[in-house]
Parts: sequence; structure tokens; C-alpha cells
Amino acid sequence: MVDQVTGGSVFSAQAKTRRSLESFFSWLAASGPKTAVAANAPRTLKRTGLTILLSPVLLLAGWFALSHSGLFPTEVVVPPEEVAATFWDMVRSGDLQRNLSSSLGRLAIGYGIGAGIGLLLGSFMGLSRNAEAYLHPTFQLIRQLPTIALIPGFIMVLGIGETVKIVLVAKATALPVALAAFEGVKGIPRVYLDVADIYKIRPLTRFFRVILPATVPPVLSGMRIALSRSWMVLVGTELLIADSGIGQMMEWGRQVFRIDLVLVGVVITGVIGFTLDKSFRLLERRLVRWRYR
Amino acid sequence: MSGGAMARLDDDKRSEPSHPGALAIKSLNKRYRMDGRILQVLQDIDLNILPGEFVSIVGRSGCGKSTLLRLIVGLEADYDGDILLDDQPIRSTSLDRGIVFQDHSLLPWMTVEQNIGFALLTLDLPESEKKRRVAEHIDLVNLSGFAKAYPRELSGGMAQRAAIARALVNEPKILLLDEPLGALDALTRIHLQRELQRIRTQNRSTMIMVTHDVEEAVYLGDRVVVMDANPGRIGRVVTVPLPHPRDRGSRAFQHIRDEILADLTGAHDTD
Amino acid sequence: MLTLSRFRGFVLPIALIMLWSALSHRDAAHSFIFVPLENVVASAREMFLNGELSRNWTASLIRTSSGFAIGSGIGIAVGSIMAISRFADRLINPLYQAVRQVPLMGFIPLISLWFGNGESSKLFIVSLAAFYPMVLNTYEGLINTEKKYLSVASVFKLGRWRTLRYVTLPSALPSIFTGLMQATAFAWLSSVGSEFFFNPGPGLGNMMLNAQAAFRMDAVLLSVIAIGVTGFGMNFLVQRASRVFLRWRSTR
Ligand SMILES: Nc1ncnc2c1ncn2[C@@H]1O[C@H](COP(=O)(O)OP(=O)(O)OP(=O)(O)O)[C@@H](O)[C@H]1O
Ligand SMILES: [Mg+2]
Repeated sequence: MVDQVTGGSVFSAQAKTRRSLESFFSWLAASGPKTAVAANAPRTLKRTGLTILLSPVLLLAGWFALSHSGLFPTEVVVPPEEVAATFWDMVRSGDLQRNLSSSLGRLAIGYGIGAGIGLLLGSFMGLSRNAEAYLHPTFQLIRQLPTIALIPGFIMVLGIGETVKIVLVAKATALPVALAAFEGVKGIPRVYLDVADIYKIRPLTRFFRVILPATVPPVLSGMRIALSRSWMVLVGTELLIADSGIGQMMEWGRQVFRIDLVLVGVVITGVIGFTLDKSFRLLERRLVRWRYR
Repeated sequence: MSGGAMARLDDDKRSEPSHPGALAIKSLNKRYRMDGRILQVLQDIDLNILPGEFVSIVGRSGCGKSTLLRLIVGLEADYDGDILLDDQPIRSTSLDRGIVFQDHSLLPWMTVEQNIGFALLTLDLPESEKKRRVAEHIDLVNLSGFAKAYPRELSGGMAQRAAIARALVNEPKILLLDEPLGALDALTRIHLQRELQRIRTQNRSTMIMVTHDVEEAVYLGDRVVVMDANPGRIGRVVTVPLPHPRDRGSRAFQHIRDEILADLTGAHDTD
Repeated sequence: MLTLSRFRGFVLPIALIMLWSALSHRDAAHSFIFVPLENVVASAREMFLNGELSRNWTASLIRTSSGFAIGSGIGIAVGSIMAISRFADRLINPLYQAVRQVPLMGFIPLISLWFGNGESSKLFIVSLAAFYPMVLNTYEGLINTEKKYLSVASVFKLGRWRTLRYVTLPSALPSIFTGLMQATAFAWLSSVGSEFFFNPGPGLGNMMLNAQAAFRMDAVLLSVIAIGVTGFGMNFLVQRASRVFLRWRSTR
């Protein structure tokens, strides 16, 4: 089901998300591309600089005030400065780096394997009608199963070691990537190929100048969505079964009632989610420069 | 076929005939700012249009014809100079001014009927009267079987006709038409040109029509404004002194047409 | 030949099922993981007859629908407010974008500590899952109304509320339906998933955990199938609804 949203509507959903974040980033950095439609262009431009800091600052101030108001014990509504202190403690003890590296390691391996399999199978399905006929229905079937719901079954089969986490991440990655690759390859507009034929473009040029540029954007978007989805699955898996990682750190904080630890985890997972997504976008932009002015 | 459509609309059925409006444009300038650069789209436009007059505008693609109409209809308030309708400056849209956009701009989520009724939404009329007017205008543009059709089910020409009906239904004092017949085949086109001519004599509303078809401009216009490009300005105004209905084959007609054509193509090689 | 080739899609699933049952009948160690399919059918029968399946299924479904209703309702409201009011947009949008970066599961420990481990925490997660896509898609749909349609509304003097009702809202509808589609999917998976993290109660997720604890692969498989089929059914329903509401759209 998760994957269904990702993979199935890559074309429409991805176009939407792109546009949305485009506008988000263009007011984040006012120098960003102004691709927003004319109707809301003035609106996009006005959101410059400091205005976006208003609500986060308000939130922080509200949090600060609430935690010091005495309405709640500071163990429950932990003051922001204490969370920051916890963060520093963890950085100095190296706990944070250890947890981060084991989480990110799992993500890298699982995502790498999953994306590799997904790209291979997806382009195979897209290029060969036979492969499509044999494989695609099964893909459609499997993507109805949310990865989260597979966790207990996979634990039974694979235990609670590293393997199961990597397999779950790989599964969460492979399906949306395969479907994005499939649709990317399948979705090359017929006219592009016709134009290439009309001008008698040589096969190699045709591949590099027509097929690849037309396929890369949807595939990259699919891979990006798969990445943030995998990150969610990994955090969930670590909450359930792990001896290390950001998820495990948060789970431990939950068990010993250390809300400051949990909050550090919330912020870290958020920052990582943001960074992964943003870097992927930058990569997309570099590779698909013609899309942006 | 055209005669049948004409007969369907009787004069006495029309409620509250609108008074045609007089339009005065004085030293109108319009600039667009794009990426820091300034683009002068219209420069020093001066034009007086009499009540009930039909003015055709021709000119190269991109010379600012659509922009001029958008200004007159009131969609853009940011310009220099004056645009006066019956001595009132135009600063925003009004039900006095109707427009048929270059692309039909029918709302895709509404049927033909609802799209035409859309023009009457803010009017204080009884529902039955609105219904009657919508039906009348659907007939007028020969879309009788398609009242309940969505725009995606219409051909380009049918959609354009629906858009014309929508612009006419609230009987504006002045009607702006941006290449209204551009997407039509030659036969429908000639038919609708006659219809426009008839509607115009009947409503006696002022009309301004942008077209790329010089023959159409001469056939319908009391005057033809020829615009030059970069920046968009009025090159020449040609009066068409022929009585209606005009005979496209007549020598006088063809002479005027050829003269404007030569003007547009920049080739004055006659006699 | 042509008719035969239409069934090529079945080859792989059938092969997998055959492989599965071949493995299941090899020895005891294998049949622990690759449970014989007849066992799955048998446990399906059993759990259906003793009402366990429907009890858990209903519990998950009720949580999903209430969470979906709450989350998407608030989501549509927040998205619309952001689209209508520039002030609200500037206030809420950065917060939304920031909070959204945290993976859904990352909130579970916090919610558990603040709101406890009961049903209400599960409902909160489900609502949040439905909330995110609704805000984004409503907002996007509303602000991306094509300019030419707004021009038409302006030419006919529609005014703010009529423009919203007749132009902006219908033009946002496709995007809103995309949001609803994502919201149902997320609500369903987080409804089942949330049961892994909070107190045990009725639900398909718990049924699965119990089966796992009892080493009953047949019951785990049964739960997975039930979850998949239900998710598929819900998606189908929303898609149907969207086809009715968006029938004016060209089917390209
Ligand atoms: N919103 C805008 N922003 C910037 N430039 C614009 C805008 N609208 C129009 N222009 C520019 O103004 C010029 C005139 O455009 P306009 O649409 O009025 O031309 P036109 O005469 O109607 O052309 P056509 O016959 O092709 O319809 C063009 O160069 C166009 O690029
Ligand atoms: Mg134009």
C-alpha cells in the first residue's frame, strides 16, 4: 500500500511534489528557480528571508515558556535547552555518532541493494514486453503489502539480526524503484522516438540523447520517494528490534522515560529525512538540468 | 442551416437590451517586467470606439493584441494612460464588458449549460429566466444537443462557440473577442461570422475583435486597426465604408482586404 | 496462442506457490517457515469461524476510518486555510514542512510518553498519517488553480467565495483526491503498524504479533493477506469515488 502510492502514481504525484517543494525551496532560498505558475508567482517571491523563521521561533518560544511555566513537570515537557544539552552530551560521548552510523549504514546497504534490484527489474520490465507480461502483475500484487506489515513475518524467517533490517529496507526500496523505472522506460513519449526516427538519429545518440534524458527524471523521483520511505521503515524496524541505531536510541529513551533523548531522536530523524531528500533533489537538478531554467 | 439558427432568436424575446458603450483609449502604455528586464508590450495606443461600432484588430503574433483586450476588460490594472468606458476609467472587471478568450477557457468541471450559466451567477434574475437565457444562447450557437456535455467532449470549434455563448449571455455593453473563430473550419467560420454580424446589429453592442484572418476583419469591422509589433502600437486604421451584408467577392471588399494584407506583410507592391 | 499469452502474468505467482508448497513438504524445519498452504486455509477457516478474524479486522478498520476522518478533515481545513490566507501560509507552512521531515514512526516514542500507550495514541498516529498528504495536496491544488480560470471568474465578477466554490475548489479536486488516496493508504498501514508499538488490543497487527509469538506462520500469512486485500479494497473504493467526482476530466 505504501509502495502503491509511491510507485503507482509516480508520474502525477511526483510532478506535484516536485512543484510543491520547488516553491518551498524557492522561498527558502529566494534565488531558487521560479517555476511556480504566474498566478502564485508574487506569492512565492514574497516569502523571502525572515518570514519563514517566524513560526519556528514562535514554536521554540512557546515550548520554552511552557516548559518553564510549571504547568508540567520538566521531565514531561523538557525545556529546549535541556534537549540541546542532552544532544551535546551524546555528541561528546560518541553515542550519537555510533547510533547514526549504524542506522545510516543499514540504510545505505539496504537502499543500495533495493535500488539496484529495482532498477534492473524495472528497466527489464519496461524494455521487454515479455518480461512485463510475466513480472508486472506479480509486482502489482506485492506492492499491495505495506512493508511495515511484513515485519513480524520477516522476523520469524530471518530472526532479529542485521539481515532482517537490511532486507526490509531493500524491500521498501526495490518495489517503488522498480515501478518508477518501469514507468519511466515505458513512458517515453512516442513522439520523441518518432522525431529521432525522422531525423535518422544513430542508435547510440538516440539512447543518450533521447531515451536516457526522458527516463532519468521519473526514475530519480521514484528513487527519492523510495529513500524517504525506506528511512521511515528503518526507524520503525529499529524501534521494534535493534541493539543500536537512532530508532533503538529513541526506544530506549521511551523505556527509561527520558523524553529529552526521544526529542533528540525526533529532531535527528527529521534532519536526516530532510537532508536525504534535499541532497537527492540537488542531484536530480544537476542531472536533469534542462528541466529547470 | 444558418438561416434556421438566426430565426430562433426573436428580437422581442430579449430582455433589457443593453446600451452600447463608447470606449476611449488615450496614450495607453503597458510594460511587463520579466527577470528584471522590462518589456514594452503596448506603446502610445490612442483609439476611440463609438457606441455600437465593430472594430477589428489585426497584427503579427505577439504584438500585444491579447494584452490590449485584457486591459480593456479590466484584468490588469497596472498600466499607464487612460481607458474610459462611457467616460468611466476602467480599473477592474465589470459585467458591462464581456470577453471571449483566445483559448476558450471553459471551466472543464462544468457542462456547457453550467458554463454559460456561470456568466449569470451574480445577476439578480429568477432561476427560470436564467434557464431560459442559457437555453436561448445554446441554440444561438447551434449547440442544442450538447447542453449537458463537458468541455472535453466538445471539438475545438464547439468549445469556442460555447465560449461565445457564455460571453453573450449576460448582454455586456461591450464585447471583446480574441480570435474567437480561430479554431473553426471554414464553413462554420463563415456561418459564425454571419451570426456575429447578426448578433451585433440586434444587440447593438460595441464589439472589438482580434483576428488573424484579414478577410474576417474586413467582413465584420466598421474599422480595421492594423497593429505593428515591438513595441505593439497602432500602425494604421482602415475604415470599411461598405454596407452590410458585405459581399466578399466585390471589388471594393477585395481592394480593402489586399491593402491591409500588404500592410501586414510589409509589401506595398500594388500598381 | 494469443489467449494463452494473456495468462503469462499468472506464471510467476503460480510458480512461487508451487515452490512454496514443495519446500513446505520437505521436512519439519522447512515447514516451519514455508507453512503448507492447506494450513493457511485451515487457520483462515478457523479464525473466520471463531470470529477472531472479523473482530480484529473490524478493530483495525474502525481505527483507520476514524483516524482517516479526523486527519484528512483537519488536513483539508489546514491546507485550505494556508491556501486562502497568506498570513496563515507563512505561519503554518514552515512548521508543516519541518515536522513532516520526521518519519511517522519517529513520533511513536514521543507520543507514547506524552499520551500513553492506549488506543488514543494509535488513533493519533493514524490521524497524523492521513493529515500530512491531505494538507499538502489540498494546498497545492488550491494555489495552483490555472490563471485563466481565475480570469474568467474575475470577468464575471464572481467575488471571493463564489470563486472558491465554483472555480478554485473544483480545480483543486483532482489534487484533493490524490491526497485522499494517499491518506487512506497511509492511514491503513499506520493503523496496523501502530499496533506493534503500543499496548496490545484488538487489531490485525496484534493478531499478527500473537501469531509470531506463537510461531504460527500460517496465521502471520493470513494477517498479511487480510491487510493486503483490505488495502487494495480501500484504494479501489477511493479510486471509484474519484472517478465519479472527476468525470469531467479528460481521460488521457
Ligand atoms: N503576463 C505576461 N508577462 C510577461 N510578458 C507577457 C505577459 N503576457 C504577454 N506578454 C508578452 O507580451 C507580448 C504580447 O503578447 P500578446 O499575448 O498580447 O500577443 P498577441 O498579439 O495576442 O499574440 P497572438 O496573436 O500570438 O495571440 C508578447 O511578447 C508576450 O511575450
Ligand atoms: Mg493573442
